[in-house]
Amino acid sequence: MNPIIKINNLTKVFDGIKIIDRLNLEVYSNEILVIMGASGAGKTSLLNIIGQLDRDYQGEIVYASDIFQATHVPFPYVFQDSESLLPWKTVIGNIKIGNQHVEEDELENILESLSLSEHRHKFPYQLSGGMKQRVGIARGLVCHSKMMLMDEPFSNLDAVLRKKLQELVRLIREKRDMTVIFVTHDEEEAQRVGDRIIRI
Amino acid sequence: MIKKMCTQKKFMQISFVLLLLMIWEIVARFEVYPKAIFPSLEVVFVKLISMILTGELITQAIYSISIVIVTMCLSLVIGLMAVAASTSSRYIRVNIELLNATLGPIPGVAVLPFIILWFGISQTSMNLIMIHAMVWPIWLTLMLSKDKLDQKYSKLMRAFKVKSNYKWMHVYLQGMVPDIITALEIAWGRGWRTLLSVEMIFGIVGDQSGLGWLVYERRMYMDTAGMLSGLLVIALCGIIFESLLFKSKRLEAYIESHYQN
Repeated sequence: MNPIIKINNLTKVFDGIKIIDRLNLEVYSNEILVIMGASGAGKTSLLNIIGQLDRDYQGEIVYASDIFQATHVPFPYVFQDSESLLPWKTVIGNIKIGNQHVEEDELENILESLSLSEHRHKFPYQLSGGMKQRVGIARGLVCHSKMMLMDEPFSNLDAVLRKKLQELVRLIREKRDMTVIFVTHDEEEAQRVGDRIIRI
Repeated sequence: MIKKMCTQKKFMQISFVLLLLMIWEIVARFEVYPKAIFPSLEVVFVKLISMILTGELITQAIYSISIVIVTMCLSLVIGLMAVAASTSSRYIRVNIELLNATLGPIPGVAVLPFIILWFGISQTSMNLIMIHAMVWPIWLTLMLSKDKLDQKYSKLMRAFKVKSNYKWMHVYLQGMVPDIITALEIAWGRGWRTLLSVEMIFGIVGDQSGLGWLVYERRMYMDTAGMLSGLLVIALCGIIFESLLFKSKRLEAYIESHYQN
């Protein structure tokens, strides 16, 4: 099986400290890869590098060309906190940041599948933490990407809600044949969500 | 209950104003100063009513307010354009900062002789002075606001490759709303004061004049009651306009809910 992302000898230096040292990693299609590590271990830095948000590194990253097909947002991000939602936009407004030209039918389906239909016109301040994270996931889904990057997306939620959303991530992967790279520091979450876990 | 009422802000303010008015009336009644320069409250009140009824005060207040509103809108547009230009080029930003640092502290009235020399006593001159008074704080407030939004949402915008026009329409302009209101509030304060000073110097431009000229003109006729009526309306316009537009409870509640995560 050919990897869709191949990382060779990746080194990242931040403030004179090597936070990633000669990392080799392969990411395969349709898997949920969990990146685990303690705070400051470089998990988010690695995710930013994979998502091409940070190009200041040494080493080589080879992407399969089909990652970039049919989308102009190849690496939609689900962020750690609710701050990634624009508070002056409704649920729909926030989702459309991922794709302003999303078809109404598709948007409807995504809202339905994430149980957001009845909250579509609400503003972030009217949503619970779990709903906000579902909006973040919906925004990623409208991008038509083959991959989604998730940076400790459920770390601020309670245990019951976390479990539900972890199941949702697995369900999305199955339905949409997506590759998910999921960052967490929680061992239990990693075991529950991931197909494969790497520790850095 | 009386104790509770006495500690309320409104009560304290009203009682203080009543105290001042009482002192004024006592000084006027005992003719500590000549009546011509220190009229009683009754004389001032009668004058105020008569000036309102003749339409003189209202016409001039509307004229002054309309000038501030028009120039404030122009300054906002210029301020936003300057923010866009500052974003597009570091060279432009550095030099707008330089202009803001050098021209910003100069009061509107101080540039008046220079403006008159170039443009004469005209509406254009008045507008230029007003824009000068308002545009610098507007630019600075909006620039800081844009920087704040960039810092907060740059990762989001880069991750989703948000295009420039969408970014401006949906992130910057909408996200800046609370700061636009703050900028306009600062601009209103500066503009209102500048306008009244400028009106006193310009007098009548075309066939219209504002509250500043009204006060100045009354002084020439030794009409102290008329002058005080004008000053009272100037203060009231400032307070009413500010509380209606910038300090409304509904607006504050809207901003608090829609602009805080």
